[in-house]
Amino acid sequence: MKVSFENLTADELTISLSGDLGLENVDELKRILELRLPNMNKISIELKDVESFDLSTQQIFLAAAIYAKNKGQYFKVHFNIDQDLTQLIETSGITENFINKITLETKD
Amino acid sequence: MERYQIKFIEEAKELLSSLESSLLELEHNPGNSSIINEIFRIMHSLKGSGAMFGFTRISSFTHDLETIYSAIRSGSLMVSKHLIDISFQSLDLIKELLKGSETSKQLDQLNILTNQLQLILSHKKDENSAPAPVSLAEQEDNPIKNHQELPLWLIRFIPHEDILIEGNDPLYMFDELNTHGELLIVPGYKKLPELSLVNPAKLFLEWNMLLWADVEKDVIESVFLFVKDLSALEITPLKASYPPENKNVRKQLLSLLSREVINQDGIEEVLESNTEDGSEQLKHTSTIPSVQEKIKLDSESPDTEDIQSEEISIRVSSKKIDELMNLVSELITSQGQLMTLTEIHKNSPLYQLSEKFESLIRQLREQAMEMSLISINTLTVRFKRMVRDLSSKLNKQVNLIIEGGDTELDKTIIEHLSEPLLHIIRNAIDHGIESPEERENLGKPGTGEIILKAFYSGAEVHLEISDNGRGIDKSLVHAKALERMLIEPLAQLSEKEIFQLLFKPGFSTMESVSEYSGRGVGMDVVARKIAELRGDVVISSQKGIGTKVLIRLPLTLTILDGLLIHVGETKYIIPISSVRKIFELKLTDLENSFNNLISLEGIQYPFLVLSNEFNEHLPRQQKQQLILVEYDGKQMGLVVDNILGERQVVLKPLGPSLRKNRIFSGGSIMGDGEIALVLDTNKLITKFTSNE
Repeated sequence: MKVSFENLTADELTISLSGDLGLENVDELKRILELRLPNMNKISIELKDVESFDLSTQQIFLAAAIYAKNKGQYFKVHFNIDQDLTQLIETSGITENFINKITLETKD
Repeated sequence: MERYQIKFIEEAKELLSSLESSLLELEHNPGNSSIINEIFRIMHSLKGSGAMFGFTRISSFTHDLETIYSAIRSGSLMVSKHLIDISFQSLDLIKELLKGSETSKQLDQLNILTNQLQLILSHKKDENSAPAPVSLAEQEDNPIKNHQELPLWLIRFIPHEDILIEGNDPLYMFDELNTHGELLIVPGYKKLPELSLVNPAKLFLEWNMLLWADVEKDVIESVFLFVKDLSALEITPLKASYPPENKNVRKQLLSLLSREVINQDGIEEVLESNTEDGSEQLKHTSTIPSVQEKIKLDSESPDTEDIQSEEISIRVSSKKIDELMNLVSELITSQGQLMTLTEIHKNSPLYQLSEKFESLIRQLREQAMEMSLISINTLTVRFKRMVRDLSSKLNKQVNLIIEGGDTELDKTIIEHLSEPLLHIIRNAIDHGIESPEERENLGKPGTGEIILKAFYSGAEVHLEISDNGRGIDKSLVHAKALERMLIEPLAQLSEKEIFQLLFKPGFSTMESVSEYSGRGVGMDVVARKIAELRGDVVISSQKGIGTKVLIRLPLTLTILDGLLIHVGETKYIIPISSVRKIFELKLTDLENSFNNLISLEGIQYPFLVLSNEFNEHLPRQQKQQLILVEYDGKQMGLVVDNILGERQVVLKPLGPSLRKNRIFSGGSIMGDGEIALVLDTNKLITKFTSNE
């Protein structure tokens, strides 16, 4: 997994993730989100050049989205990835039902 | 993980067998959308499961195939013979890749096929162009596109927390469900701890789903095959309905699915309103319990009618079935010992207990044997494939017809039957069926026919492989046998005996050895393999009309019901399945008989005195028993000194010296530790009646 950070403003952060986003890297991803989320008002996750993605990663994004919602923060995941992988990720219903929905509610 | 990889390989082999069958069907029905959908679904499953269990090369390769069949589904690609050929070659390659050790030859083949698949895809039509005939057919048949009512399934899936650690990702399961029909899915996250407390390797989510698909419940269960033991899965049929397109209807359904307790009637009402365009009817609503509640209810409630009415299948490895059969065999041997002890001690309660024990073991044995039966159909895909490939190579047209494919045989027999049958069918194509031109010149249809017919006959299964090809030239067989000094020049042989010469080692009537059969090592091996299965094989043929090969096999190999007899001081067993009647005779009746023929109930029967045959020199008793046995429509009497009773016996193979004596099929250890030889009455009758 490759990670890069871009601070747009003092409380706005974009985290870019690529490579393998699966069980083997989910601990590190959780640590990053735990560390960065409390200090930001707005966090965007950009996914690109993702080689693998599993439910553990989706679950940690969901936990982060719920955390952000409870704190009144903006949290959004941009799936800029291969169509096949997007299709696979969407089958769980998490993105459609929760991550995006929570983001919208938070934005309003 | 390795355990799951082994499971994947098993599952993949089954999928490949279905794929082979579907491809054979597709070749004959290139416009059949349900076959195309099935092939697509199999490719999709292989791709998904392959990726999940680390078979990345298989996953990536099947992805290309899936793309091809997706294009066929969408109508941008046509089914062609070239495509089917490549699909078969791909299937063979995947089978090889599943074996685990990749060779450079396989990788070269992989590259070649991948390039060919890419080339096919590059020729596909623009997605927006007019659909090809296959697509039109698909549109007519596709229930989703046509908005037909479809069976609706409510699925509740609560995965085990460790599901991801064990190498299973439900994403692939949902993805596979999607290929069966239309899926509406809502995850539940009430058990998901807050971010700082989440153990990210564990899964805390659960799902409620609605699936509109024309599939049976077991198809849905099979999607969760690898995980259902540790996870909670509930599949409930709901009223068939139209998959909703209206956003509001979908929203209402998503809302109903996101509830802790699902309102089944509520879902059906929403769907009815969708169907009837707003003409909603108020219904009494009820709730269905959650999976955990249902498990609790089921265990508490004696009313299990619904569960009992449903037959549940589970997958058991063949190794376990073998172990079970071995244990049953051991039990039978132990029971024999118990029976012997009971007879020695003459203890009545012990005798009753022993009889009950025997009856239970018999039932257990019958159940275990039933479990080890497999239908002939499990072999037929392989045969059809071989017929397809070989007839194509030889420029012949051959139709293989299977009759009685659901006939079942012991799995050990089935496992050893494949090669002999393949050889016989291969011979029929190579030497029997003529070229289309030759057939038409002879006034025969251009396409030849091979019929594989399986049926029960008493305690045997018969397999007939017949073709309508050129038949076998009897005089040529005779001449060849003389040339090879297999028969005496003046020997008078019946037609049946001449054809049986084909089973002699090294016999071949073909002047040139064919690449596919006729190497001269074929039919003798077939006969030997069938004999090892305690069966026999007979050929009959008519020149210009065709050939028929008949294989007769016992239903099972290891355990049989036998009649324990005494000949002199030695015990033998006669299989009960061959016994027709038992007569008590005086020694003088036998002494007065002429030419080994005896008249009983007005019929003359040939007989053998077994004490003479087995060189038992004890003085004969005044009362003798004649056991009338039958095989192939022929009856004969076996005279024995005493009948000790019926026994269940476990057949053990004989050592090489006794194996040469073809009248014994095995030996069995009796309760007192003695060994009794089991008479092969079929061979005995054949040998005696043909005066060998």
